[in-house]
Amino acid sequence: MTADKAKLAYIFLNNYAKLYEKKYNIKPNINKYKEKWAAVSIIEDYQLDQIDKALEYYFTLQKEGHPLAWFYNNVDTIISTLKEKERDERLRLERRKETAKLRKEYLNGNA
Amino acid sequence: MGMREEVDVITAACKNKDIHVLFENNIDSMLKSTSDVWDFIKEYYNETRQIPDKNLIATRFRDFEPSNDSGPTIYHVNRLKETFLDESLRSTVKKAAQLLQDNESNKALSSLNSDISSLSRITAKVRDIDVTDVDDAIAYFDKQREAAMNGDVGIRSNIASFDVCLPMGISKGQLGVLLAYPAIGKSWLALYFAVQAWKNGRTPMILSLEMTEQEVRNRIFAIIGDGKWSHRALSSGRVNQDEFKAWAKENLEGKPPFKIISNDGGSEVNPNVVRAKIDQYKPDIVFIDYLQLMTDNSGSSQNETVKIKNLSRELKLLAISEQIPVVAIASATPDDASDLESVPQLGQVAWSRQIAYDADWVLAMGRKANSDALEVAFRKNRHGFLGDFVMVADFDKGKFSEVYDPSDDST
Repeated sequence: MTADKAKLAYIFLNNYAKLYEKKYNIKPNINKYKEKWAAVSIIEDYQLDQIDKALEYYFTLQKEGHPLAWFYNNVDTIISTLKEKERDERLRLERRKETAKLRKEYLNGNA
Repeated sequence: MGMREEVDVITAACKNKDIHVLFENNIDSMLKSTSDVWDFIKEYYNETRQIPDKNLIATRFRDFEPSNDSGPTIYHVNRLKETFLDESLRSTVKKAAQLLQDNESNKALSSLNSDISSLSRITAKVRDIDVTDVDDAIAYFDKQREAAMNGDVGIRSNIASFDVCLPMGISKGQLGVLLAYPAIGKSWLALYFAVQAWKNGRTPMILSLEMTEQEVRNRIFAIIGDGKWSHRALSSGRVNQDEFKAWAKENLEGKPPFKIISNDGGSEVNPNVVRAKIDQYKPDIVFIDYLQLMTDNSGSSQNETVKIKNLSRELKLLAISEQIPVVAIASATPDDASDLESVPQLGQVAWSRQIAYDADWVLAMGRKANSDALEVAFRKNRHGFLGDFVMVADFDKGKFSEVYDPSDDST
């Protein structure tokens, strides 16, 4: 493991700890030295900012205890869900604009 | 069972060579004594694309004696239907009477519902139109335009962003679905739609399997009150009786009925029961709260997916056959990585996606935690645009208002 990767892994684990503490008002019981190895495996696959976004989203899910292991195992799904969510929000924004236009015409008796 | 009528139908179809009349009238269940002859005709037709001569049938089936004089096939089909209905109804009533005699009134009701529903299905006709029949299309357009001019359109929600997406309103025969994760406001919105229909002079019927009828009524009072009543106050009985009576006199008297049906928690509610209630109260629109708490007509509750699939089909057929709009509330199930605040997708209907396939429109909703802003999106709409809008909900006062969307520069 390179020093750079280890550094990123620690950043990720600190972010996790912060979000965990914010949600549960208690520090998580994690062994950072041990967890770093698992964290590196996802850092090798994704950019840190992508992982951070996924982590923030993870803490909005109804997952009891928000375990790190679940995150490692499902980060692919979370990232693809986030992408799909963003795509859907963009599409819906366009539709919302179109609906607002149609609504105006409808209220003016032109629809 | 009318052996003579059955023979007349088969003889006429063989002579007039119009087997399609038999197919489109669901004849299978009505041909009892001659089912073997009918099976032979179908096999013959599948093999040769022709209809056998009546003499060939008489040779194959010794006890089949063709009629001498056969008129149009549809005439004989209608006579057979009459005989079939007459005899089946007698047998249905007899069966129910026997159950009543044995003090099995619940079973008697269920048996009546089930038999009558299957009779309606059997005697229904498959409807068809020819796309190239321009006169028929023009007559339809005239009828729709005239209906719109006379104000005889489907039901309006009075939410402009919703109504603009269903140009003819929530119309007869439509199956609509309100889809969201738990605790978003599905039931409130359904009741809001029901109240708007009622305010427009229609009779709504709400089938509430989740809340008591009093709870539903309190919500309805709050919505009709349009800000006057607090739902919390109504639920705890903190209401000035004189003020309430005066308000009710002004707002409820002389208005169409507004029916709330709920079960006692023990009895099963299936589409047959809904059909019976439609017959009883003649509503203009039916709301079902909510789908996953219903049972299908067969009562096959051992498998939720099968149940929802059956229910979906049965509700769609109910809407079509009763010519009434049915709006069902459906719960969404999140994927492993979905939050419970976003607007669910079509594929996230709990247990089965079938309802999303069968529905004419699916309105999905989402709401951020501790927010009153309801994000609403049509995920499916066979009748118009896939609209998207935001509403602010005041759940205590039962008020919904469309809001200016800051992300939209055009408004």
